[in-house]
Amino acid sequence: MAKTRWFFIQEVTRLVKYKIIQISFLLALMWCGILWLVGSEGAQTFLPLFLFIDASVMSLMMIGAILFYERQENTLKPLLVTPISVTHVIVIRLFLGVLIALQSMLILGLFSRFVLDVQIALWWWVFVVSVIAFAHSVIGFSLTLKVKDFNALLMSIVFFMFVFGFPTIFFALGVISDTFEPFLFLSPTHGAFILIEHGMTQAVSLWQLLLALAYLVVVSVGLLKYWIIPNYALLGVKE
Amino acid sequence: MKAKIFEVENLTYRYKKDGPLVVNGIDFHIEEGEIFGLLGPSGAGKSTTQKILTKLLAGYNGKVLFRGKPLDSYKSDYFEEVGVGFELPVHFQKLTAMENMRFFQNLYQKQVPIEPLLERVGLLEDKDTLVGSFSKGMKMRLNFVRAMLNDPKVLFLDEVTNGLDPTNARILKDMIQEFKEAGGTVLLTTHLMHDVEALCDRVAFIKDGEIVETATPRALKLKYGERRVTVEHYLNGRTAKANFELDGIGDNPKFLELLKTQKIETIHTGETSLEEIFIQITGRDLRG
Repeated sequence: MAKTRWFFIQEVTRLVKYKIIQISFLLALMWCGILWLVGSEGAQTFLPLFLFIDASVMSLMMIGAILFYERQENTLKPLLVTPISVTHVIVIRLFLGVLIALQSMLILGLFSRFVLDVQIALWWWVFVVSVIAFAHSVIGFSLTLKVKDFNALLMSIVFFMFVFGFPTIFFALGVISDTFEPFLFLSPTHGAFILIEHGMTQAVSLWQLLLALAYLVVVSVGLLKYWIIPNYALLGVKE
Repeated sequence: MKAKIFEVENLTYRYKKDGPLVVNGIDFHIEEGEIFGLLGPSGAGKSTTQKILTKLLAGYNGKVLFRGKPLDSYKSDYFEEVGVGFELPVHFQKLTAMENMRFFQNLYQKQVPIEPLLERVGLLEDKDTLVGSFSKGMKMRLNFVRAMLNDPKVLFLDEVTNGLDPTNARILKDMIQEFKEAGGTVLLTTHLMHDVEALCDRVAFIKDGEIVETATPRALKLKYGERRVTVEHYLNGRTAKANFELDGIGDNPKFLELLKTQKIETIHTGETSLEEIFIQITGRDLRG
């Protein structure tokens, strides 16, 4: 446990040294700036959208950046010959993705509450942003394992966004009608969106919330167990 | 006879199910307290063998025992006893040398003071410098320190002096020798024959996934070296050469006459280098 705690603290320190936390912080400030421009009424629409983008797409990219720094520096392999287990290393990295998303969520949420006077469900968002960021970090981790370089990762994220992200964003903006919503449930990002939206509108049905949560959990556990853990060590060996 | 720390029997490995055998039924053992060299050209299977012994690769066939127990029966406790020095620098570039070392050291139960190790390899003054600004030689020296952080009993070293100047290479070789004298065991993977000759108690030549010869460097030289003596002497204003059989040389009248009557410039036995022996055995250059 002491080793795991040490590793987690060192990884957070490393995120600061590599300026990943700072970049995420600046991005959250940028979202706040836009919310301030659209005002309280506009924030009702845009706040869930920004939270959704930050917890999903940014989690994909942040975990990719963390792992690519490691691949560039050949530091995957030396960790594999220490007493800390591969599963611990992977799970801690995924929690780093959650930590970054929570930072953004708190900045955006508190800004909306105290500057724009928008009512927010803070604890609900803490919970669902954690689940969403974890699931999307798992997806980002999975993509990173097989791509050759950071450009290829960006391309695969763009592809992911076209297939899963944009339909949900279009649905949120009313471009896609409610008729198509059952199909959107095939996408993990749609589940992510309705979980966040519920924090603002309280209008999502219980079965939809449960379905979205279950889907994200199943995607996370499935990819973690059957894709990431078996392939992570091989990636280290190939360094 | 010393205890065997590693026993490898009929070890085979392929990276893909239908791919070729990268390691093809090799047998060897490493004794406790010895420096064992695994030599071979690129792609011969030596790095794969080392990756199996460092538990980076699983899914092999054959028997690999560590202290008499199957290697795969060991969990994370195995790494408490082992230090690995990789061929390439493996450091976080935006952390200092000391931060890098602390990052890894605190993952182990057993720890040794870092500063004396850094001092020994000439990096103490740079301990608070970002590793990203280090030269390759400095990074390689830090690699070695990283391998020693947990006071290991077994060291796996891959091309440990790669990129080092002769002075720093000498320092690392001295440290490896001291590690051995303190009872440590070393598996050295390299193609640098100077390192092998200076350090190894026994060596194994590996070619196409198979071990083709295992012996002490001296035994190999005796076996494969020419048992001849070449004498260079001064004759009529020029250097002349004469060759003699080494066996019975003390009774060879021509050799004795030459020593008595001519001005001798050099005398050499027909020693063969390990590199020449490797080429002789495998027909391939060590550098692949």
